[in-house]
Amino acid sequence: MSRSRIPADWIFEEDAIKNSPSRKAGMNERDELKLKREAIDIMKKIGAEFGWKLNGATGAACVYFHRFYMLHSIQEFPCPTTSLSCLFLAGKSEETPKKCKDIAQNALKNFSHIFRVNLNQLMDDVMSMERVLLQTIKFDFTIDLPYRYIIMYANDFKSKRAFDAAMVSDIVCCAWPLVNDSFFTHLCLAWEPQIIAVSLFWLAIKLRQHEEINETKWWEEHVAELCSDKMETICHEVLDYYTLMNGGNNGGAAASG
Amino acid sequence: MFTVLQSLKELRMAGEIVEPWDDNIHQTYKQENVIGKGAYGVVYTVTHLPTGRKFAMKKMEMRVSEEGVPQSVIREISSLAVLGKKNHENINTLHESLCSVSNNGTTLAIYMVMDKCDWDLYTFLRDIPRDMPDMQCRVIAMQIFRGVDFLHANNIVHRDLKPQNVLINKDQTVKIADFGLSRTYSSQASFTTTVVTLWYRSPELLLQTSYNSAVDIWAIGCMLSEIYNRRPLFSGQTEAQQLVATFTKLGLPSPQEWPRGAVIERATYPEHPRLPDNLLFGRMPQEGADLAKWCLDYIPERRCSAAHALLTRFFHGVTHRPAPTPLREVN
Repeated sequence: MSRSRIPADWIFEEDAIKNSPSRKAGMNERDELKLKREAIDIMKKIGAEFGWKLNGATGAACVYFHRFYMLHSIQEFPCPTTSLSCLFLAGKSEETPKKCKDIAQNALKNFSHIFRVNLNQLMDDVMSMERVLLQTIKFDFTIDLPYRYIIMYANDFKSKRAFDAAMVSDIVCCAWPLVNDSFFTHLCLAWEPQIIAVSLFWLAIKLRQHEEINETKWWEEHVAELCSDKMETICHEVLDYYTLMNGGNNGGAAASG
Repeated sequence: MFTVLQSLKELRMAGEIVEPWDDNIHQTYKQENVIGKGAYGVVYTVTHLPTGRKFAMKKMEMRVSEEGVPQSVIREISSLAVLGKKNHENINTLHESLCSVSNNGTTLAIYMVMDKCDWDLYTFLRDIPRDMPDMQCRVIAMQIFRGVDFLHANNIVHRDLKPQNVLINKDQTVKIADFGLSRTYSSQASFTTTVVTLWYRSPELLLQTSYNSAVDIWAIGCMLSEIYNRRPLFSGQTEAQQLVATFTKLGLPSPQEWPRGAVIERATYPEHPRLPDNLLFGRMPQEGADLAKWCLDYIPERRCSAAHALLTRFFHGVTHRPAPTPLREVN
């Protein structure tokens, strides 16, 4: 078992992310991301079937998942089962519990090409994996997600700056899916949720062509010392993900191949 | 792609999947003597080997249900973890929680690593040679209210506040302990045979009606008197006796004051007049007795909040500046 040190806030140095246990065990970056994305996709789809929100149990599950693989390798614990246990645990921690059996059945129904075991076996695996997760994540189950900051900034724009409500909601509608897709990247391991929210909001403003708003450096009252270079880097993680997706297919259908 | 979960399967075949972690606990923390056995499990002193720092480590065991680790356990311990990060000086901080599973995955052990303090208020009051000066009593009381105010502001009801759960250090710093787990434990009650102290329970708890954070205020009211008088205000051995002890001193609640939905009817108890303040609160100064009375109102909604209590005359001019503890700066 690898025993790296966990930073108190679970925000890791770039180096640590690049030298994750899976990478150290010989996996290349592309495969690591591919396997993780496949599993994030499983969580998003099953979560959606349960009526969970990404800004809720599904999002928490995704963060547990990313954190887990900073301490264990994919070679040691394959992603698909981990993803189911993350859902199982997040259901409980976010007070929208689902039975282990429901999760396993759903996985077998929708991802039969990935889970090639019978129901009982899969339930056993999910339960065993829950304990490994508990031991790894150590009850740090309360997750702060970028969404609430997006809402906060939007409200600020409307109330403090008296921006047009329709324009603000247009920006939010652009920022929200960017946050959704940030779960496919390692961003939640590298940056605090506020910084991810500011950066993706900043990107959304650019994409909706309201550059003049960004010129006011509106984020300075929320996050200190964040320069546009840094935001650029953060946004690129998400944009790179889109580029990768567009290379093959369109959007979310990525993992079904 | 993954047809078999190889590593988990191997671990399952070996019967135990947690041995390495158990080892890890013992590699990180050296277990020393048992310092307490409470309703929540056993408490040890431990030394954190990498730093040499002493902590208290509480071990709780509970059964794992067929839905894995109970939701209540996950919720409550993770909320304690959040609270631990806020690091309030009158709260016994949770530094780390570890867990292990044993008996083929049927029993979950949770290890909670917390601040180690010199005494609890119970031992402290029992062992001090003479009555504490008024100001020292106020300093202690103020810190209890501050800790509880912090808990209530974070939506945590202690529910089992008592001198045994109020820890105190040589520098007079007070820390509230054992909060946030009461619900977990009442649902896991079969694990414990420890006698629970009822002396600080409010009537609405004893009569099993709905309750809120005001139950903690009642408990502080009882402790206020005890800090000055060094004997419990109401001391019954059973729930029934505890109610009688309370009513004998404070008078039988009026029909309006009787908790709605109580499991016992008011008519079961004889009428009783309320004792005069000097008999109730002994050597407490007037402002202290006034505050205690406010805390011991039969109607929970009328009791003061912890935040209000801190604004009363009793605490005017009271300050506590503990000597800076080098412990804080480590880590």
